[in-house]
Amino acid sequence: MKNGSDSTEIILKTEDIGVTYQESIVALKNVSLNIPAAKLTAILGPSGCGKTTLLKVIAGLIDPTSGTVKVRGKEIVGPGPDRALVFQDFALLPWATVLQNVGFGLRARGVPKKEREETSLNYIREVGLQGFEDKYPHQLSGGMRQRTGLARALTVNSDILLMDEPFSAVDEQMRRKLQEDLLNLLKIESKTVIFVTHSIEEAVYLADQVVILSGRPGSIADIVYPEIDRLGEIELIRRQPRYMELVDEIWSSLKRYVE
Amino acid sequence: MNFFSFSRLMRRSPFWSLIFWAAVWELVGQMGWMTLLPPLTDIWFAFAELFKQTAFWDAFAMTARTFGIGLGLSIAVGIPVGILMGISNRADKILSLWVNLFLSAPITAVIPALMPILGIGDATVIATVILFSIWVVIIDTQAGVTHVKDSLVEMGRIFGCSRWKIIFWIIIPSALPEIFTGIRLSVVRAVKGVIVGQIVIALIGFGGLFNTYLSYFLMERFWGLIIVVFIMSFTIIGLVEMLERRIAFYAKTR
Repeated sequence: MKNGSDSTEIILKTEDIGVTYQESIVALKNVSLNIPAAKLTAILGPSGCGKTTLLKVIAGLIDPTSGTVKVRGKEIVGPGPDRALVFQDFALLPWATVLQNVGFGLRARGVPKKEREETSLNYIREVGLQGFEDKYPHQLSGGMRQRTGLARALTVNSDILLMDEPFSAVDEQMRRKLQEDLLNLLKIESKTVIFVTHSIEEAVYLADQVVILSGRPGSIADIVYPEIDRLGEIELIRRQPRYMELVDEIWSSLKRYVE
Repeated sequence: MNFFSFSRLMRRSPFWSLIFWAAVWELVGQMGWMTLLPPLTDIWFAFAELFKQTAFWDAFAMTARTFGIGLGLSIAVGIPVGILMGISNRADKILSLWVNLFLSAPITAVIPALMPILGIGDATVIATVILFSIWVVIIDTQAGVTHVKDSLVEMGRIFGCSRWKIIFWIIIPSALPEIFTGIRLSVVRAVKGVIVGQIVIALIGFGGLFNTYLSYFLMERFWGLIIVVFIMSFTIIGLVEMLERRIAFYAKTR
């Protein structure tokens, strides 16, 4: 599987995406990207390279100046039920409990309360938050808040899960734990994941496809396929020689974009 | 008791300060130096007189009515206008100059101009209350709405919320602490508005009573009425502050 697109269905495609702010600031330029289904794609780049902008274009939150995003061949117009987003700052409602926050997406879709809570409790258990259903976000640690955000994104059962630097606001130990839990979760839930990160290690550790964006204006500099064996013990991934090689390789290609 | 500990006592407890100044007032009043300042005990008896008069209760009813209607309209109109200004750039551009102008303008000067238009009666006082109290509701609501985290609104969009759901489920609850601050400040201003309005018109409500008492030199009743008005204001403001504290936990958790 040298080229991720050969053997798997392409679920999402960006074609020649360009984003220009205030008529002169070019944030993204000619971004064409294939996202394979049920794989994890990382968008990696230095800060300010437009990676979050690209994710928000894919989410439908930002209209690109040029180009299109297609999900299963159909052009998107704004956010849709096929895509859910996990936010960098968690975006939890401070006045709502974990249960209410997790059920928000279902509530927005008009799912009746009983069914909503059933589904929410299920995912709360799946992300490891059982016992915290009635807590408010300010009573939770950063890691738990992001688990709540993840559970909320999972309840709506979208095929594509978008994550905007999901683990950047938590400490290193918690980040590792969340990364491992995400990999374990993806073994159960078959999802196409696109996540944005500035961490090379995180990208190589988690992703099947790493898209490297160059600095301003953001455009694709390289695409790397880690091909790391994740079927076995995930604790061993960081010890694989392939993992260390790749981290080095990506760093050397990314170095020139970091000023 | 030396002076140092006396002044400390004053500072520590507003109650003792109140007692002290009441005693000073009584003393000065008893001396009879100033005809405008009767002894506090006489004013105390004037309360009983005051409460027996239908003119007082008529004025009280009028004040309560105009205050309630004016403040109610300020809140009912101010919050939606503030929300509109917070979410729409165009509305903000059209309205913000006027809102800020009236927020700091000396409204009292406008009341005489209102009289020929609205007549001498409830309508003018209600208009005064609104002019005093609406602007701060608008400004604070707008501030609350513009400070709503972008990511929360984006979250609403991601999960397919309609515009109205985003406003009612995300924007309004987020802005609630600021909205309540606006309401509290507008209550304070409405209390001023209802009294100032009546006094400037000088023919109706407490304003009319003040005027009558002053012109007939009924100083006990005059001061009694002032104390009644003060107590009413403090009670209303105290109630609102109590209410606000109940929802203050929002602000801390954001």
